Amino acid sequence: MEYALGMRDVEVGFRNFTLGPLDLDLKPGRVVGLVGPNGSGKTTTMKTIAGILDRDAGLIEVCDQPADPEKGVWKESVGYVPDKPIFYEWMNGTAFLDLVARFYPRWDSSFARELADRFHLDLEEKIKRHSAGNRVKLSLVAALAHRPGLALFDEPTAGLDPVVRTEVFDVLCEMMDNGNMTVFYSTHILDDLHRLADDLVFLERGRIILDVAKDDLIDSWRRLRFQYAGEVPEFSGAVRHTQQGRVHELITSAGEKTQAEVGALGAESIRASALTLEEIAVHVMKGDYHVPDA
Amino acid sequence: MQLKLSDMSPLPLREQIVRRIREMVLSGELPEHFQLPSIRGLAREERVGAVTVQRAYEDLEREKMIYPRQGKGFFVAPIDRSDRKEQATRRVTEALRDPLNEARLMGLTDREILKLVRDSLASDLEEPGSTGKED
Repeated sequence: MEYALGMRDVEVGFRNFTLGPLDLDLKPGRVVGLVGPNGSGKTTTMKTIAGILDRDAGLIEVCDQPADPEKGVWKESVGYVPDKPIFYEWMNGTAFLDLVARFYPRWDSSFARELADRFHLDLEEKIKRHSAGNRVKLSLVAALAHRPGLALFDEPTAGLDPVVRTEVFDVLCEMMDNGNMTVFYSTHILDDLHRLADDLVFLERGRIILDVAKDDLIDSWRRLRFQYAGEVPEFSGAVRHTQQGRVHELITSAGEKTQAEVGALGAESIRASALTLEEIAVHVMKGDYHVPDA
Repeated sequence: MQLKLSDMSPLPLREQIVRRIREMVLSGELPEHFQLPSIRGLAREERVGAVTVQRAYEDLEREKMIYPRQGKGFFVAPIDRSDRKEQATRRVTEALRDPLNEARLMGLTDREILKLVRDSLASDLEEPGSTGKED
């Protein structure tokens, strides 16, 4: 399997919003964050890949199978945790999972029970009595028990307490450890995910503005402080320049290159430091991005 | 192997992993030919992305701190005594560059900086062997 997810020129149109055209490839076994502000199209992207929304144009492939709206086979490779899971409130967890299991020939009920145990989730309890955290856990079990190649998580941990979030991420880490599952995870804040993510896809107004390996992104941005008495030129990649007397501070998206330019200028006491992912994300969202060399 | 990575650190996670393992190799805390955790294993243990661990291992391999064995993972490279000293000197020189530049940027003279270093050595730092921080 070359890609867990492939998207070509995918478009979904609404009256006042168009998603795409989106082109995206996700490699197997990666954790990929879909980052964007509210209204950027994250949920629409997730629903389109899950086959809940029909696309108007383009091709989608999941684990080498075309996402053909007429045939549902590819859906067996997808595990989807929606942003607002809908349950039949009168059911208990077991009844709900039995219902979901019917749609998945590869459903592994002992794995479902194991996951529920790991989450300390009581499957006999009626869903209407479930806390917000337990609802998320139940929808995770429902999404993962057939061991999908592609797991789509639409901000499932937003609004959960840190204990539940840690449990969720522990299970994710473990599933990543012994399988080739790809996790595509949407978020508008870079919370716990920023540690786990291998790649980040930034979405803005329905378009992908940056698709990058997280470590490359972190490597490419730098904060440079230095002393220089004369007039400083425009540095490549610099998105912000502040100055107090002889002391300059630059924020740059072309770290190495800018640092070399500052050095060549003859600046003194050059001090380089990394930016946090949150700081970088803010610049990227503002449009200050630079695509790192592959 | 506990790396104690921090979200509060100004250093990226990959750099934190590299530094921590390098420290453990140079100090002898990890013995020669010791097998490092698998990439996925360490990623799970430390709750970081597998790609980050993989790149940290590649950095360490380039520095000859660790070496790979086909299909078996990564192992601690043997480093002889003089190499160890030289490596340590290089690392400390590198590590000092930023704070020294910072001190100059803040307007301290070199004489003042030297005094600071001497005073710190005399008081703050614990002698090797008396760290009492083993855990």
